[in-house]
Amino acid sequence: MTPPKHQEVPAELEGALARAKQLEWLTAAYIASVIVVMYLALGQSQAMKTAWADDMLGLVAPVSFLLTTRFVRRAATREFPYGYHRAASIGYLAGSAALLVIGILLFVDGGLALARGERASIGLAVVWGHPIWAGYLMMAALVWSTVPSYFLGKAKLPLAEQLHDKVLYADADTNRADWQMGSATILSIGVIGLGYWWADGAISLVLAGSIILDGYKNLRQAVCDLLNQTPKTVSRQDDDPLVARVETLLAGLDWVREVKIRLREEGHILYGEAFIIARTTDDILAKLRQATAAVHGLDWRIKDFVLAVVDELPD
Amino acid sequence: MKVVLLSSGLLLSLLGAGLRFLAGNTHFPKDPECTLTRVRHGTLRVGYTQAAPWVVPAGAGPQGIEPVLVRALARHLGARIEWVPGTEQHLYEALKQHQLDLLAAGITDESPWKEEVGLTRPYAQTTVYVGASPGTPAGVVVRGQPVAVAAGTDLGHYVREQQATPVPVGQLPGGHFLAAGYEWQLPRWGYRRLGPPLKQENHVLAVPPGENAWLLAVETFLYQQHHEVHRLLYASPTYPAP
Repeated sequence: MTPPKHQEVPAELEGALARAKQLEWLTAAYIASVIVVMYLALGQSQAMKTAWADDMLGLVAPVSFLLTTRFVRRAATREFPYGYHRAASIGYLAGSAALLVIGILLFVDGGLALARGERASIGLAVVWGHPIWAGYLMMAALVWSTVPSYFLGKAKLPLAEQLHDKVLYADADTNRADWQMGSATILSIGVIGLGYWWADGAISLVLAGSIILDGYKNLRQAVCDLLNQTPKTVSRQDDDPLVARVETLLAGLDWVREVKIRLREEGHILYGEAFIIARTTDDILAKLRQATAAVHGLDWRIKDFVLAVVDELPD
Repeated sequence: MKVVLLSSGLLLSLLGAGLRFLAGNTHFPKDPECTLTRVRHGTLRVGYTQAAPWVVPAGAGPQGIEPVLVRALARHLGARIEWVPGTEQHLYEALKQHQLDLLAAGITDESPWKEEVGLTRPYAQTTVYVGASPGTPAGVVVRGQPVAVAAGTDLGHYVREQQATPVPVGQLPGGHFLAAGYEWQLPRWGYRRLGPPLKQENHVLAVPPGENAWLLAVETFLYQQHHEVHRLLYASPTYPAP
């Protein structure tokens, strides 16, 4: 059997991984700047508070990506014979749980503010000696929290597909969709300015709702990953075609009568086994070695695939 | 992808249109309860409570720094003032329910009511220092010394933070002594500043919650008056010595 290899991605994807890390560092620095800018413009608006909290949550994905890419490359040990690939899943689980909980807290907070009829007071801000309405300052902060985010997300999406990285994908998707949150908040400041105070609470509820939805979607996926759901494409819409390709390859071998395979995702990589009923066991070791190499050759993501010759297929 | 581009394009043009609308609209932001419109050439209802030198109740309406500012604001808006005396809590509750338009009570931005009503930006910042009386030897340090503080204030706490001993007093003691006072008080006593600031206070007025046109009008007026506030503070005769 081929011993497990420990580099996480093949040489031709190292460039993409390095680029993804760069982008995540850039994202972390950018979000830190957004947090400061938003804090300075914050004021009493509930929608602004919610948007600010959402910006802070935006740090979870880049930080967990940067942390886990360090961990997942560690070699397997006696204590952790399957290696550390699942560090990515743990980061993903923790991040999405945080998203869900904070979303719920913000929703309750916004709901209470709306129910109590709390009205946001937005007054004067002085920028370099020029008195202006603080609402314009908030809008400017929100534009900074929105526009660069959109482009960062767009740059990260193709890398996430290439690297088959779900944390990166979720992050890119969130960034790309950020313009909706930002625009909704800008709109709410404008509507408050028109004298409709309830717009603040109402839009903060919408924002919190979308955080909850995001958290729920991601949490469900993280739990499914940890429960060894069959591999999905990185956008989670479909079954990963790789499963069918492995099955076809093995079923097509002349010495294989029947085959059943199981694959599970551990972070970027796939582990799995095939149970084979063989037509003949002549020269079986060489056949198994060839078949294993062929399966490993299908895709870099298949790291540790085990073939077992059995006389009865498991359920 | 096309949908995203299309919808973001649509949104940007909407935002652009919105900003053009706002820029051309002089009545922005607006008050949900129309306070500014009602006060202008109407009646300005001002709650006040004793807080020298900011507000000093007197026979013919309150005196002090804030009443001077409020009267100037009313003149600016062509409004008549209705002064309403009361305790701070009652006035805040009335303000929160839009039964008052303005609260002058010497409050700072640390007010526990700050989430419930609208506070203006600080129109004055004052700082408490330890001062040394005339004739106090040069080179004296605050640490370890007795420092006179106005009885019934929180200044003793800040004096203790500097490892000095607060001595609550009813009035400024004679002789060589250290005393805590505001930066505008010390020169009046003839004291010189000693050591780092003990405490900073940002003075604000309060308006009903969410009345943004009104808040903006009051703040803009106060901002234009900030030199006047400074003059009033140093000229104010009413603050009792600690």
